[in-house]
Amino acid sequence: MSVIADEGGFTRKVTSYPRFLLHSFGQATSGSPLFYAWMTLLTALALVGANAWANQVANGMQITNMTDHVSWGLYIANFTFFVGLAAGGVMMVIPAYLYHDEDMHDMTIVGELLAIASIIVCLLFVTVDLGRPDRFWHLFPFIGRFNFPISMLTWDVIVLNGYLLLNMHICGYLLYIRFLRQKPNPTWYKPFVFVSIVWAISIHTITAFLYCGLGGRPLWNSAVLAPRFLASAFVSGPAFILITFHVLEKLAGLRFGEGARRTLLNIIRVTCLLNIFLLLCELFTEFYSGGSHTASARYLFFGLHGHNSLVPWIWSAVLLNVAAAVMFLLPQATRNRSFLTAACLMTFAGIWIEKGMGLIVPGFIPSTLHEVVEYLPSVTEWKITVGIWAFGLMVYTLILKIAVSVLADRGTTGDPPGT
Amino acid sequence: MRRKTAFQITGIVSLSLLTGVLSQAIGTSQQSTEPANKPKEAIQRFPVHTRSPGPSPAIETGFTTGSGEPVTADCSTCHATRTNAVPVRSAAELESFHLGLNFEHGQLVCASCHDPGNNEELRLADGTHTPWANAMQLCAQCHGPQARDYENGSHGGMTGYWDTTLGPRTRNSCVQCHDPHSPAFPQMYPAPPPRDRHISIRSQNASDHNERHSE
Amino acid sequence: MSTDSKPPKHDSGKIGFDRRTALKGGAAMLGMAALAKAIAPITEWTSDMSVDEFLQKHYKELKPGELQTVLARLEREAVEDHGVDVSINDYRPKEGVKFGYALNLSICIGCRKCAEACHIENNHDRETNQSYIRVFEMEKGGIDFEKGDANYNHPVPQKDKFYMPVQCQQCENPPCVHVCPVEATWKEQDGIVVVDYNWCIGCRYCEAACPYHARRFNWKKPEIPSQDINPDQGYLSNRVRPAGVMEKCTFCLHRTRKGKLPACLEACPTGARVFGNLLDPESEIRWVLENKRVFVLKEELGTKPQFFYFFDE
Repeated sequence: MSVIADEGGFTRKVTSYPRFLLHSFGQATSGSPLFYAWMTLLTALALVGANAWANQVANGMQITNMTDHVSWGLYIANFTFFVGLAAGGVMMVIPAYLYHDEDMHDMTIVGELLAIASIIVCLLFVTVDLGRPDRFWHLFPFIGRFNFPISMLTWDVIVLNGYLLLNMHICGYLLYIRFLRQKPNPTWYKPFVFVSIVWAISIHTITAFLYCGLGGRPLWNSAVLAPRFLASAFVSGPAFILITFHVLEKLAGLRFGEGARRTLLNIIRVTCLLNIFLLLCELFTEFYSGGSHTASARYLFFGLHGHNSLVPWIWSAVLLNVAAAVMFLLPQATRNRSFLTAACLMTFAGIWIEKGMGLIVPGFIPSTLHEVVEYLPSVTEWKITVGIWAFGLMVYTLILKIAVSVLADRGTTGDPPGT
Repeated sequence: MRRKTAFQITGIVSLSLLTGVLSQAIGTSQQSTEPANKPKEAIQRFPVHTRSPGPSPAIETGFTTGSGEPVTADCSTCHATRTNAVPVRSAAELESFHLGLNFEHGQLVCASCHDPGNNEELRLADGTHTPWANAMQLCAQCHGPQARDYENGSHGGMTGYWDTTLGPRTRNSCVQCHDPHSPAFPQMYPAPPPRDRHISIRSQNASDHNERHSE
Repeated sequence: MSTDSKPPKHDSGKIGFDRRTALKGGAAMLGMAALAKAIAPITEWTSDMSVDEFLQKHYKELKPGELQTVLARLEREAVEDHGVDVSINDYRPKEGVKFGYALNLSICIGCRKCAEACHIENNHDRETNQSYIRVFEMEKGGIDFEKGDANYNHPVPQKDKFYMPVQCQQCENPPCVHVCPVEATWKEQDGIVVVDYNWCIGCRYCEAACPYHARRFNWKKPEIPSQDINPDQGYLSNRVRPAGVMEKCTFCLHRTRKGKLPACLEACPTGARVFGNLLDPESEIRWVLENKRVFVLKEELGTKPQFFYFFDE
């Protein structure tokens, strides 16, 4: 059966990692009928996406609805949102490690796994947005020509991949050590945890800089964009983790400590208000001074020259975020889990709209020469997007399942790992 | 491998940012201060040819020769025997000949430019005769700014070479673009507008739009 | 993830060599087959691409011999794809030359002849009537693009309007060049911002960064009837672009680096366009800059355009 790690036994040491992988593989491929059904569904959706992407590569980007006017669409919108989700995962880590909340240490893995899955989704969304995916190697430092440090996109390549590696290392190490039933050695993961906290903030800051560094796009060219990104990330990340807790409790029969839940809720209670406050700051600056620079904001919130396809979306987002903020603040949020989950789902959807299509598309409308060409994603774009979401959920489900199995090996969840 | 690699290896992000910005700034300033180091005299230039305003025009009589060629007549065929008694400002004032002429050129009369004494030539404002080929001087008498711009290559259009050390250039004279009797540039239909993907959402017709959406 | 389909028994006996494993193996096979089927169009697409094309180095890293090989390959591909003999050359910037362009808004009548000439000269896609020049019909009284219209289709000039053609401003401080993650676009010594169509990855960040809507993306491979292809082509300018890459106005460098005027200038019926060497004090462009009140678009952005506008009156 399971091997109790002792310091001797060279062969054991050599074979223990393959055994860990095998265990993980076993966990990833077996489960309840519900698990199989879920995975089959996700696989099917991912395949639909893969097929749509293959067609997009073969036929050219003409089968998307992007234009020279709106040259980024659904893909980059989702990319932006998922960078936020990845950064938001770290909000589990900050209280656990900066405030020595030992209750949270096991929980942090959920946040870090969310970060891993989200970054993979981000990288996929960038890949499908490329006109020439066959030339992806041009982006590699040393092999290609990496326009560092001038291009913000090269910074993003570094921070996103760095964040992925950091989290893979932290999660992989902690889970592996737990699998061996050993005590993790702080020097092997704690420095990385602290780096990852700063790094999480950097990924979303740099992603914001991608946009706010563009002088020709007034909607984005705002100093408050990076803080807004972070504020919304620190709502959507914890919200998604709370949803994860709820689902795992309902479907997998796991129990999570009330402490972790309370900490996350307390974070959201602050960040969701901050998010709304920063939005108000932006809106005041845009609309009080007026001028042609507000055209994009006018298009987004009120429509421009009779074009208003984003108006219902952005007001839905505002409504969802405000309503969710109220719900988070009500005492029911601490008592009623379904109530809390509903609020989480609402704000998650709200931020998906606001930090996705609601941010990217109006940046292009009107165009830099004030032409109004609207954008609605094509069927191909929706298929690919759904496919990537499905793939991301698949990755998240699998790594979560492996993690839960390893952590539950001691019979309890929520225990401090004994650092 | 190449220069940039050295920066990347250092891994000190802020330092390399600074270096990058600096090297760029230096590169730019070097570029803009670069002088044009061409010795002007030594270089042989190709000619700049100005298209001729043409010889004095011949009037179509409305008759054709046996082989179908139109029969034309020089101005002096008629004008040698007829004198322009009054200063004519518009074709409507005429009783015969040139009846359909569209004449809209300020306050000018025929004799402002045409020499009543010698109808094969033009007349400058000081009364001196000048051949048709010199029509631009006549125009320049009133249109000074345009003539100055033309002299300096910023009016009138051209084809050929911007660098006349490498090839010739052809320039229009005034009358290639401006009808002397009605010099305002005529209205015309523009070349077709762009047919960008989905631009039809704004201003082109719906069927056009659907057609491009079908893929 | 490991591909081993036979996990050992150590794992609490949950997994074994049973029917379930076989089923899982079958499902995995099925999944792989479905994936292969799903991405089949990519295989078709890659069969069109040569290894040489895939591995081609960045323009600036090509040694002269290598560049000649690339040009020969592109010429060969032009014959295969379009059945036309074209000559693709590498035109280099000249010492002591820095291009500038000026446009007289007082005499531009908005006839779009420049856009049309660009369309033909630069081998643009015929169906979309693509061109690097967009002409805006503007309301007199200000330079307000919000009141502009690029899609007008009525006789010009209209009395109460003026016309503003916009193309690449060949900025001295080009945002599009800064943002490119792979250095596929850069500013050359003579001031022209170029794109290596064989290096661009098609991320369209430059298109988002350009404040002048000067860049275009090839949403598909341009389609041009063989007999209409302009055979005089430059590697960095008007050769028929591949799909999925960015393109832009290059001041017709395949013409201008040979000393010829750009196609849009030759086509202009009113002589509104002035082109020349900014470093030559005798040039027409210098005369305009020194004697006319010129302005540049969006000066506040600090892009320092090398394309100037002026009015006569």
